[in-house]
Amino acid sequence: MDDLTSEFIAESQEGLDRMERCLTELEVRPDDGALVGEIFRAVHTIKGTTGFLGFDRLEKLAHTGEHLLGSLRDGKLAVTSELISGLLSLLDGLRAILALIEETGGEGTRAEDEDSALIAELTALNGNAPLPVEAADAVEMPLPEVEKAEAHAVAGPAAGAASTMGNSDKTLRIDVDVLNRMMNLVGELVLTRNQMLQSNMEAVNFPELARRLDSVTADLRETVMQARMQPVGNLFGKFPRLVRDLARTCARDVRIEFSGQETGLDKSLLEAIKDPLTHAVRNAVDHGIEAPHVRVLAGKPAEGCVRLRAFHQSGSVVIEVADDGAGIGIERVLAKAVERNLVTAEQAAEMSEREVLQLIFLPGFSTAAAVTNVSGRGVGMDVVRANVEKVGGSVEVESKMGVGTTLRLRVPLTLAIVPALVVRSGGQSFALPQTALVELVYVPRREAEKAVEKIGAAELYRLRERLLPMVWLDRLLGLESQHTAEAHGFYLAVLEAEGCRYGLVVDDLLAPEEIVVKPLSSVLREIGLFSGATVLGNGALALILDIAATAARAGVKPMEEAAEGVALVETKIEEVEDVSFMVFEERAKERTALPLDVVERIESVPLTQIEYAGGRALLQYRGELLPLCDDGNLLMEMEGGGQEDSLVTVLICAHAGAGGRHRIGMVVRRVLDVSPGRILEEDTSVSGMELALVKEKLTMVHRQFGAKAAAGWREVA
Amino acid sequence: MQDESDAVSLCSLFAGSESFGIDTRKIREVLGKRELQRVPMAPAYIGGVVPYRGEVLTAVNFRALLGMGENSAVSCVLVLEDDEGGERFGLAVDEVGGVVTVNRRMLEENPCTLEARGKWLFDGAYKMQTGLMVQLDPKRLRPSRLAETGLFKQCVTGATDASTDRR
Repeated sequence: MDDLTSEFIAESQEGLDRMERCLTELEVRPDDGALVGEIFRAVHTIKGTTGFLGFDRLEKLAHTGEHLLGSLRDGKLAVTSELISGLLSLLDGLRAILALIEETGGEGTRAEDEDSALIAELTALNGNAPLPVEAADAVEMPLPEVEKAEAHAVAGPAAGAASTMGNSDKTLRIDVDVLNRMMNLVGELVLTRNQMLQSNMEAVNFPELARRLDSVTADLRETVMQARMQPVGNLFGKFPRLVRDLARTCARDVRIEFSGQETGLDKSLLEAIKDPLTHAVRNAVDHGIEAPHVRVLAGKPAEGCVRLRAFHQSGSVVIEVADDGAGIGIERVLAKAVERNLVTAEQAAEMSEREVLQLIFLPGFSTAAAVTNVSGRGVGMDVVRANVEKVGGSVEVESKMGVGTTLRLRVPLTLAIVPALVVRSGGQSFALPQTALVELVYVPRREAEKAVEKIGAAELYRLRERLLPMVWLDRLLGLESQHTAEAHGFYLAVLEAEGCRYGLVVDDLLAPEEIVVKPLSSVLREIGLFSGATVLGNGALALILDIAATAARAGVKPMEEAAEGVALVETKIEEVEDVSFMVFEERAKERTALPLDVVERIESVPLTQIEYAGGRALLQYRGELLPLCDDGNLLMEMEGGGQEDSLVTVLICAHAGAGGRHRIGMVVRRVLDVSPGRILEEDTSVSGMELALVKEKLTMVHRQFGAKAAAGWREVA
Repeated sequence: MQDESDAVSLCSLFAGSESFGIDTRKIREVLGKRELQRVPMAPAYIGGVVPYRGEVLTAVNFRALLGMGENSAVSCVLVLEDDEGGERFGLAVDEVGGVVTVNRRMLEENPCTLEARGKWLFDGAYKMQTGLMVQLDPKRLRPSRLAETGLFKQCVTGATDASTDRR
């Protein structure tokens, strides 16, 4: 295909996309002349260009369409639902021919008859005067084909509009400004390189050069990312049509609303969530929204509403698909789950609403017929989740009976750079994506023997009274064990992917790093355990472990066993009304605890890094000034000890108080445990403190630390 | 055959005591001694991966292909490019010599007594004054091609056996 033709196709497809959006809008606002003008232009451009490219079939169809649109523009025709349908079939016809041209280079002749039917239909529509009944019938004739296609698409999970894919997915429009900025930065990069090559490591200005290189790289990275960013609106654009067609097929009355179309998302991610999102929207219309008469009976407006909302939230993009339909019937889901042996009746009785909703993501839950006619949701939801998780995202569902369902897709901003934890095992470095990392457990040498429990050959770790299958990374990969377990104990990285939860045993933890993912060659991809490789800060290579594949290789199963485990823990916790605490020693011989959810990290800090201002101990932590809370006077004690290189354990605690999130560091002697406990009745004799029973031992709970942190923050500021 | 096309420049390289040559036009870069990052569970003829100009390059361990034992983690890496497949890969050898210009007419076919693996790897030999220099064809050294032939499966299993023995 020559350049001219491929450009024509790309342009026409854009025009048709615009036309599609306008058509669905036109149905809502039939009097909008600007919309008609826009549609007219799109078809007209196609017709004009095809003429000199010599695509007669395309020209003929476009000409008929143009003629019809001309009548519409001149006000000779009124916008009716039939007219819109006819124009939509025109759109499909044009798209089909374009796809054929893109594929074969010619417009082909095999589907000639279809065209003449379409042309006849459009001509019939153009016949002025209010549409006679026969004409309406004629309109209906070619329609079943479209509906059939749609109905088929509804049944098959996430069968995207494959015909429109192609050229437009491979090309990207970039703002010339962005491109210029990129070029400038590349120029800057070249200059910096030249200077670096001319100077040497010892040169006085070398650190400055390195800094400049750093800032140029950061800028360049940001600009490239910006160029890759596409507004989510591009993806939303195709939904009005989809919803319209689907609503007609299912006899629903549905309106679609958008917000946050301008939210940017990496192009490759946009492609990745296209199918899951389409599926979610289909589900919302097909199963979420009730039939109009049912809605009226329920006291809701007859017209249902599907809302698509995109927004940024803490480094990821959230896309919500919300409907105001019937919601998911909890009892029905449960009944189905029990029937399908996904949970036992006893477990089902104890499950919270949230947990029940999670059941719809289980693979066994999705076999179409079983669910469509019972609970109304869940066709292929496991596929949706798998697809989103594949790109490092997650899916949540919220539902209220009679009020509606909200499906939330959370995806990272970009794929190329991911936060990861670098670990060592068998003398090699591996990167674990942070998204899969739940928590880290250190098992010291003296406890290593006791900590590992066995059932047959399977090794398990008891984490907060829940058995976690252990996977030894070095054994799994056939690496030579370094036998560090005897020397320092080992680390357990608790990972979760695709419903599997397991503890990966590694020898050592290195730094968390933002890694740049590089693809592996096909031979290495075939191993199936690594999703890529990355170059670490020290120049060494680390392989990125595919968490889900590792689980599968080690034989960790998701589903029932895991679900059972959850249920067991839940019942236990409910019995004693527990809160999880992190227990540590602050003052000698006293046990102190913090609710686990406020502790963000545990850091070991060299004593020398702690600075003082106005009589308060402070720590510079990730560009933030952290006030340190030292109730046990530990710092004083250690400074007095005269050991310069000793390490202080600091708990980084976060508190979401008024005026934003505050962080505070707690200086502790040592961290003892994480376990569930119960808060005792408040005792007036110990003010500001609460007591709790953790593992049947008296423990003091810091509750005021939030307020204290806020006060400390003001002092610092 | 014309005279100017008879001259071929080869880059000489060594594995053990044997010397080999690869057409310099197929070599993109000689990286020198590099530490290879091993890839667990990979076939034995994969020496590991090495960073190369923003890419992660898969390096074939030439010693393993010849059935020689491990020498050391540090080996010389050549970056080869195959014009057909467009796939870049590394070849880890003991040492890289220099560029030798030879006459194409000095090339001898592989001897018919050569075993199957050798027939796959070698592309004839040049009679040099110092001895024979075996010519290698980068196309056949490509990791994906090596995987396809299945000729080197044995050395894979051999290696895993060895590792279980060690444990």
